[in-house]
Amino acid sequence: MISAQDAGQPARSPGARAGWPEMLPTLVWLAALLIVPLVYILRMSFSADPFALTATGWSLANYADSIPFYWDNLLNSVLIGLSSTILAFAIAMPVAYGISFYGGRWKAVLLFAFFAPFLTSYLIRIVAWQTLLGANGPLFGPLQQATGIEVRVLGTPFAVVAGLTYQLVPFVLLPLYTAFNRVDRTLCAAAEDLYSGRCGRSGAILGAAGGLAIGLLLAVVFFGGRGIAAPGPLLFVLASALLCSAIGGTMTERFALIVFPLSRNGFVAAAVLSFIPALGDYVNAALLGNVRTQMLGNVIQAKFLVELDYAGAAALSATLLVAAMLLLTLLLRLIRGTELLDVV
Amino acid sequence: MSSSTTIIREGWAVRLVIALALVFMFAPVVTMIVFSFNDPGGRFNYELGTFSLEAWRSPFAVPQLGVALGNSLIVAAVSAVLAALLGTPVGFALGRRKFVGGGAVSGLTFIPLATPEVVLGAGMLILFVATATIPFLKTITGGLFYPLGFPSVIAAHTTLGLSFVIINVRSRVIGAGVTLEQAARDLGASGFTVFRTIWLPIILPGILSGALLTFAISLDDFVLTNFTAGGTTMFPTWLYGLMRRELPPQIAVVGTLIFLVSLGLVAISAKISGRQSVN
Repeated sequence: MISAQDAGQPARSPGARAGWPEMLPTLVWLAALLIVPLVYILRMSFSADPFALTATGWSLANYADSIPFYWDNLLNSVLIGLSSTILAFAIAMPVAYGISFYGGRWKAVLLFAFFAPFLTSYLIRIVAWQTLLGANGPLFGPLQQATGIEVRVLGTPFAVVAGLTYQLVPFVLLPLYTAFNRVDRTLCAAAEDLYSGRCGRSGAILGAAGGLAIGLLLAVVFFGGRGIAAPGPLLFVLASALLCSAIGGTMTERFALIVFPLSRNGFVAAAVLSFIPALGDYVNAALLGNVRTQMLGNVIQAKFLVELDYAGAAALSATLLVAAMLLLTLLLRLIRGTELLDVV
Repeated sequence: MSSSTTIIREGWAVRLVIALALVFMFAPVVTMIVFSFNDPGGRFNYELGTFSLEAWRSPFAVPQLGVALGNSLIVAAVSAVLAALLGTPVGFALGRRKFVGGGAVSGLTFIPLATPEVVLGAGMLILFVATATIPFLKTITGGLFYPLGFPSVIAAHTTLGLSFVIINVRSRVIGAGVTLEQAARDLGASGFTVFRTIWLPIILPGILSGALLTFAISLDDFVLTNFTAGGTTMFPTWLYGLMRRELPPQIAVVGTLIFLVSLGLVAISAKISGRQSVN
């Protein structure tokens, strides 16, 4: 079902005024509470006196002191953020595709079901993950009693990635679902008439390569950079490559050659809306992880609210902000020609 | 024939993934509900003890819980109204036509979605601190935002929610009502009449869903609240502090209650917008 609005350029009122006077209060609000704080963070990051509450003088010392010192936290943010984003895509992509193409009259209900868990409090969801993953919790407690094996998941990078992935799924699901829904179904029917099938060998090869990369990334996050050369982690990487190869080989050409390329804007929006929040997240790392899984957000939070080292914290915030903005510009280049707010 | 069996098999594969994903999504919710009926026998409600209705009989027996939840609800309500008032004109203008500067306004709307929340919160914190230490800012704000409290949290939550109102209103306006507006103008309707009789019914569901989303985000938000609430007792930050000392089953009860009330609100708003689309 394709409406005229989806297929063509949206109709706009040509004669209407822009409405600047009505927009003025909002623009002032956004300038004061959005632009000024972000610019002020950048200014503060060059402040000469680290413990002054307002910026004074100019210095690069905040960057020189903090970035090398918190390099591991920066790396954690990138690696844990990237792993969670990829896993959220792995979950949300087939779900969005399934609901859009096979949902039938259950579309709305199914889509809502994926958002319903987010109607409770953010922190209570993390508490629930703490409960679920605890060594004596409802999952691993009975397992230990039955088999004697103690499973330690809480306080590992795996728990942080699981909790963060969970938070990101809806942010990936919604843009992908919207994009998949806009794909012209007559093209899919045409592909079927032309005997489209499975991706076969090329899909399997691409899948294996992707699975290898993802497996390596996850292995580094879960087992640490040095712990990867052990039988367990290597087996994990191999399993990931094999699984992705199987998925790539059996994936329909309809999805790989029609739906996927036509949904590029949805993928870009989903990547922005999931990876950038993941980069800055710190509550999952604080409550589900351990000392070594602390992310840049944890350091920023502690410096601002506990140590009152505003300039040092501003330097780390500015680093995160610039990284996010660079990423955003890069991704937005991919959707050039489309209006920004149409992809969200 | 072969292609149709292919499609069927793909259908079953995605159905399986959807089922497994739903288990993943609902595992924490089910855990929360189960643990609201739990008597852990200690201070931390992390392990199953015996079945108990005690927490449901006195959900607000934990000191400060009622205050924290009440404060969060007030902040969420005020932020939702403010975001709706401020966001609607921008969403309407952006949806109605392309104009010089429209791209910049869109970009401004997108910033809160594309900035790590911790950076946004930190920026607002140092801005609020600056309104107390820089004389010029102190004069124009009148010391409203520092010491931190309701005004600073509401300002932060409104800023985040604004984008969602703008996006929702804008998507309602695009492609709608243009011909109706032209017809009304041809018949001599004034600008205000056109807005009231044609545009308002079109954008109202967008305003409502944007405001509802702002309410939900405000109630849910930890990071911005943590940076801008100061000593004010807000539910998420209060809970974060409490969790170091104890985790009573009442928390699971309140979580379940928030879940059920939100489900009810969504059902009502779905019914309202459903009735409108029928008309």
